[in-house]
Amino acid sequence: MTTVSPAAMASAQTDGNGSQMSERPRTRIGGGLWRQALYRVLRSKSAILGLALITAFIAVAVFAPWIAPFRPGDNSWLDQVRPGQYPGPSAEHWLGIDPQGRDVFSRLVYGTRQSLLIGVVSVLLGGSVGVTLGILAGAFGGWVDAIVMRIVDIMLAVPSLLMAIAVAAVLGPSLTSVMVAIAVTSVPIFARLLRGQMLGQRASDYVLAARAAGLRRSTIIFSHVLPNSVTPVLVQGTLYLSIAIIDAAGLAFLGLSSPDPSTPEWGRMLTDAQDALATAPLLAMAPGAAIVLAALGFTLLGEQMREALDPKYHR
Amino acid sequence: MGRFAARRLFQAVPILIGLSVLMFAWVRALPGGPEQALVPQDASAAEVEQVRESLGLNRPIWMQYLAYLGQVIRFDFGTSLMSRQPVRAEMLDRFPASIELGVSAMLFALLVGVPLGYLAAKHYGSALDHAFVTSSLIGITIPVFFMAYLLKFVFAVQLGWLPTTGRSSIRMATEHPTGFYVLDGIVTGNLMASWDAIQHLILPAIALGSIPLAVIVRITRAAVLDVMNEDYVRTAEAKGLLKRTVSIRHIMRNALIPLVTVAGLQLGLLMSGTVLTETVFAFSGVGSFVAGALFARDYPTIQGFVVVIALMYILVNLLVDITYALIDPRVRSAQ
Amino acid sequence: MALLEIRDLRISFMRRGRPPVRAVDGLDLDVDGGQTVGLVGESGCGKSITSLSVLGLLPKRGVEVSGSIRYDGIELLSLNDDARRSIRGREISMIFQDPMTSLNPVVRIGVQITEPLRRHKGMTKGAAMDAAERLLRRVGIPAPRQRLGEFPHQLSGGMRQRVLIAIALACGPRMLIADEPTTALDVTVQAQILDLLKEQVVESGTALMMITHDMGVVAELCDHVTVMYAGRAVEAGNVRDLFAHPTHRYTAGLLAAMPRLETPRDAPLNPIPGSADQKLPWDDGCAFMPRCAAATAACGRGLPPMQSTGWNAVGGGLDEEHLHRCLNPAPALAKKAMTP
Repeated sequence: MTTVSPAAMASAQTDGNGSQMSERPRTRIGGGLWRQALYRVLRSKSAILGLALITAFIAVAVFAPWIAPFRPGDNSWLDQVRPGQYPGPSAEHWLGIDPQGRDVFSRLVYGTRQSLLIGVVSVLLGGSVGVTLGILAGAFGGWVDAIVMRIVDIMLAVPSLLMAIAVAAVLGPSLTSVMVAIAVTSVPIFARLLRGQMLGQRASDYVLAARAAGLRRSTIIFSHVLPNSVTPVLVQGTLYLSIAIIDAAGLAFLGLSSPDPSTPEWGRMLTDAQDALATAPLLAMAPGAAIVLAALGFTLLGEQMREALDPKYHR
Repeated sequence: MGRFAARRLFQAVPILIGLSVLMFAWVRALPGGPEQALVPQDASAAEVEQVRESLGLNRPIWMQYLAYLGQVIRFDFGTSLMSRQPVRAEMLDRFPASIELGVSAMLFALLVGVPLGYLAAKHYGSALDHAFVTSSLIGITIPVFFMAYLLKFVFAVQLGWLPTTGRSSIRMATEHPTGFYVLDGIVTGNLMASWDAIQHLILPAIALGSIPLAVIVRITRAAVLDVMNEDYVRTAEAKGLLKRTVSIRHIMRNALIPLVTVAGLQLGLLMSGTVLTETVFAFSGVGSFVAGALFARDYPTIQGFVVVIALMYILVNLLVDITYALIDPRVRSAQ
Repeated sequence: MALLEIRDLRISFMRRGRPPVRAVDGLDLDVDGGQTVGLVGESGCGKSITSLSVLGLLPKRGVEVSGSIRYDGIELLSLNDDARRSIRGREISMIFQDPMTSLNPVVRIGVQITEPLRRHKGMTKGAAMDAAERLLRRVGIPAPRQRLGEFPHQLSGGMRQRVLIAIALACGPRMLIADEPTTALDVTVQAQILDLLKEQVVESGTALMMITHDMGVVAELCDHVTVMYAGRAVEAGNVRDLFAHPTHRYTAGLLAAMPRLETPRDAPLNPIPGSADQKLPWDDGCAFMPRCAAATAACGRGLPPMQSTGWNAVGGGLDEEHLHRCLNPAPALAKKAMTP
């Protein structure tokens, strides 16, 4: 017995007493671990909360036209707006009207689409490039590995927001450049993750056994190493979705998102509302809360997934 | 130790070379090409020709790169299009401000975050622990510029406790021999100026420090929880040492190892955060300047600052590595 | 009165929403100065937890300890945290199982050895360092002065265990608890460490509580032995008696499972059938019953008390009683008496 934590001792004793179901050794890393992990994720309250938040935001994004009472660009209420005086919440406009005379609630609802879109596209883009680089480095090793990892090091040497700014400067301000910019900053993270996974597993007993059995390198990589690297990538992807949403807001704040001011986007709404913080705090708090809740949803789920899949946390 | 540092420095060389290639390529990828990007839009044909000449755009690409490398080594990044000042002069003005802000933010995050994380771990599973974990989660998900605006709104605008913008009050006439305002006040014997600079630093530093703070609380908590269950902590307890000795020498000293790594990683986030925080507080540092340069399409400025920021980032990471080796003797002898 | 007297020790771990786990149940144990007492059993039987409770190193939350642990007449279980801290390391020291993980990796050896000296003896840094050097020399570490400035990773496993012993001996404790101190070490080093401990007991009259699963170590080192199974003592007595006439079936099994040189190589080893997972629930009788060849229906109905085996003092002529907790004790071994 090497630990003195009560939980560890209790569990050691449980196993010893045999009153609990005796755990079988894991012979397969596939289904069994996944089922167990899913079970563990679903048992955690914070994961359920995260999942609920994500589901709610996806639903809002999908059904935006039915949920939002008005079109996001509709500025029919401009005549109700005086400088520094914005109509607050009412039965018709739940979250009030913004300085441009538009319904805040409708913009918030449609903004969900933008945020999720930016998040998903940039993570898919950055993830696939990063994963490919990681596979190349991990599978071939040697000089391929050296080159890929130096590229990754160079990318990591530039703070991510500056990297995003540099990318956006080349592409010009647009939604696409926001996505590309965020994707670029995520590439080194995914590349490092996958390379680490592959190197770790290449040295593991089951890969050694597969090699001893005479399996080809490509077979080992595609049928053994890669499937086992899927989960960490999923975890990182989920976590990065929250970073993408937060970073997209930051880029919008700097004026790097879509040049069309009518685009409903949380980051831009937050930026536009800041001068009205004293008179109409809801204008800023609503998109701010939306960003925090969406990011929180992905963070909670991602972290619980990581804990469920990491044997280190099972104490 | 010296050899360890030298080796680390040497390892940074290929990264720096790669970075210079990247920046070189970036300028050439800009809309309109370098001769359009690097001169003011109203520039005369003669001015354009002069830039073409200095960049050597008529020469083969590898010679252009070598010329560029020569410029970078001499810290010659050309003239800012916004201010018509040499970019290097702008740097001397801006970097001390951002370093002052970044160091304050990191100090705030460490001085608050480490004790909170330790407390959470010591009371693992308690209401206190849950409260800390939850608030640090929310801390991570709040966009830093939103945090900055909230702080500014509450403490500067509504309560009026602290200044809203800038690095110093206008009435505060003082000299700036170092560019670090807090230090300047001390150097020139004008402690009021230092206090004024500190007041201007508080809100931006807290806003900027909020992200590393949340991360540091979580990492400290996790690291302390890990270390608490280590055999050597039990050995220390078995010696009958005072609680204080066990906590500081045996738990915290080991928990510092992951903490230093993560704090180092946070520095990158911190540099990203300065762009946003400085913009909100009109704090005339590197971040707000680069953001402004971006709007003005002031590419010489952007180029120069990005190179120097990356350089600093590499240097800071070197310092982190050295700190790491100072704490963990195993790292030292493994090299 | 023995130096350490454990009476009816019960330790349970609380679990949320489930019944508590009883790790130790009604243990009695005496250890006196100059004496080595073995506490034997497989992992999870409660022997390590017993030793941690003597030192007061069990977690405070979620653990319930009852019964009595008297050290030199003082009831340890009623002392507060500060009082227990001042006993630990000064009066009672412990040597842990894994020398690779039991030393702080980022603190110099010298500091780790001098810590208890400075805390309990109030020594100055210089005096403590000199004492540490003498301690290292005594536990057989060459060039001790140089070692003081080194870090644990610069030392081999055997050296580290010697350092841990030096730490434990630093304040001249009257009682030493060693939790499997040789399990993680090479065989040649094992013997050296055991000799070191033996020397300490004989020369300084220290009381030694030796926790082990290795009957060989018991034979080598111990005067008295208590065998534990699933948190309970199942047999206790003078080591010569117990080795000559193991009466509880578990003890007999442990001894029979020991490979011996005098038995032919092709003779089967005699493992105890089943595994430690197979146990009866606590109140239903002898926990060893599911693995016991001699079990009868009565074994599953209530727990037999610790009682005399009737094989008293065969070996050493000592007056301690040979006790066991068994309804169907093993007969005297047919083959040559297994004296150590």
